[in-house]
Amino acid sequence: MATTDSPVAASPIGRDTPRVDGPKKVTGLAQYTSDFHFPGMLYAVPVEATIANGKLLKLDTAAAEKMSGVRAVFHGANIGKIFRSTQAPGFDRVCEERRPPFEDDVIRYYGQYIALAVADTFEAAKAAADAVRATYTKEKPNVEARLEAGPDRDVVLTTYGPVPREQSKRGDPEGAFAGAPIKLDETYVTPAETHNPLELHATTALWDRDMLTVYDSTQGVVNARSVLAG
Amino acid sequence: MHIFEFIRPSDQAAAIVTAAQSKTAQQGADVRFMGGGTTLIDLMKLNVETPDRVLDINRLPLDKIEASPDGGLKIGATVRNSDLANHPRVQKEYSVLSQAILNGASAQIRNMATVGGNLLQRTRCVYFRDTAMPCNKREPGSGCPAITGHNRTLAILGASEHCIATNPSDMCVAMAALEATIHVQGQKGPRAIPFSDLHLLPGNTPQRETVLEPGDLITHVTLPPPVVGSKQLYLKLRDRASYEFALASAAVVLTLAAGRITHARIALGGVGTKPWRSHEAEAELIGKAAAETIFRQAAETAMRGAKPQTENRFKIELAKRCLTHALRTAVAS
Repeated sequence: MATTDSPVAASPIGRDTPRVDGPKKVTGLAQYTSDFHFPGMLYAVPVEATIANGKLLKLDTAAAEKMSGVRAVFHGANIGKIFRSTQAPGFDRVCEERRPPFEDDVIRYYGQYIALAVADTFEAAKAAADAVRATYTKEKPNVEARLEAGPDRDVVLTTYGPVPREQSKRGDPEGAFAGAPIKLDETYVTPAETHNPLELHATTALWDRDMLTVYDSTQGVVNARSVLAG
Repeated sequence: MHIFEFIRPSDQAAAIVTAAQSKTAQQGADVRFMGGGTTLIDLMKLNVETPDRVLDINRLPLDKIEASPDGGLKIGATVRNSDLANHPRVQKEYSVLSQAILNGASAQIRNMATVGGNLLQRTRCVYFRDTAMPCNKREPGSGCPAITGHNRTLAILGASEHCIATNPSDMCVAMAALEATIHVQGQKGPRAIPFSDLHLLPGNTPQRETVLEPGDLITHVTLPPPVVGSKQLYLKLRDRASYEFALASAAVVLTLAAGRITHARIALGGVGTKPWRSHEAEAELIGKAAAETIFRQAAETAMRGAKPQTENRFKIELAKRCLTHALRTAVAS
């Protein structure tokens, strides 16, 4: 073990560092989930709620079902029971939306899945999803258009109501700082950096008898597997 | 996206005959001409435009920029925005047009977008683009939620109680200031439409955006001979420095003699339901000595009829400052 003699690699921090996936992404060679196609594969496109709060009264799928290349339009009344996964200890089987799609007729947010069009091609599935007509009873969405600072600077106002600015604290930072032999008191600011993933949301699932292979747009590959299998 | 038939006619007459079968005129019609497709295909993916037939006119011989007999310029309908903006004569003699185009969209979009298509560019009003919402322009009679809703970017000039959608084109603002002429080939033969007569105010028919009839194909645009010695400027103010639509913009073409303004053409973008030529502001300038007070007076006059909505009152002052600054900068250039 001669690791202590190895030269330390120069730190990438503060230097331009080429991304290993850069050339593939800019030339279009990078394969995303939706780039995988298999013989006989069907394509599904969700129908999304166009209100932010209320109830789904009626779904008219007749026109969509008659469209060319369309195999089925699934929704709450015909999809059957969908398994609800349970969270495991630690960061495992974490599912942001524990309620399975189509479980009830309550609309909780704009864009919530209310039906699913399945067709021979992506284009036909999208056209069928767009042709599904939904009727709702609308309620006022629980959103604040103007989020202003409140009078108490230790409290942050959010759409979920006021939450304390400090949400986690360990030890005695004030005491440790006061008693430190060397003190550095600086303010560091980072610019707003927006996260712009190139990949479109998609899942490609391939059954081979009892084996299921899934290609997924996810940051948690192991977690996704656990949710599906657990 | 609605299933449609894609037709690539190589013959202009055949294209016009097919398009004339459309029940309504160009915008929102069941038969649509397609240039670069940068607006049309986008809106088809959103189901805002649902044509049954799309006629791709890119194989028609309409892609030339040529001198016209009167010393002006003849620009084919399928000339790409990039080619027009970078044409030596446009850069030199009609620079306001070059500037306006290069201030719009992105390099990729400008490489695709055509002159004919840009003339018919549709609004970016969020309600128009969302089929889950009512919109009098998309579904006449369904209502205009923009008037009480998100209207920060919408029009303060030329609006009606039925529609306050802004015309988003930069190119059109320059075309208005350059007094372009739109040449159309229709079922009844060719005709020429002065630029200011092409677009309609929304009134109670906001679904009808231009005077074009079914079958009318824009074949080319002509610009009059360049205004000798003119100072030209396009100034665009927007939320970010590139790839963004104007909150207010101004195209100015001026000539001066001994410090006096002898010729003035002014058009505004980002504020009107159509590209907004202001003859009134021009009248304030012509014959006057070029000075800050006169520029501001012209800007006040241009905005005299402005009617703000709940979120866009700021545009009145912004547009005044935009025009004042454009005039000051053009004169100093």
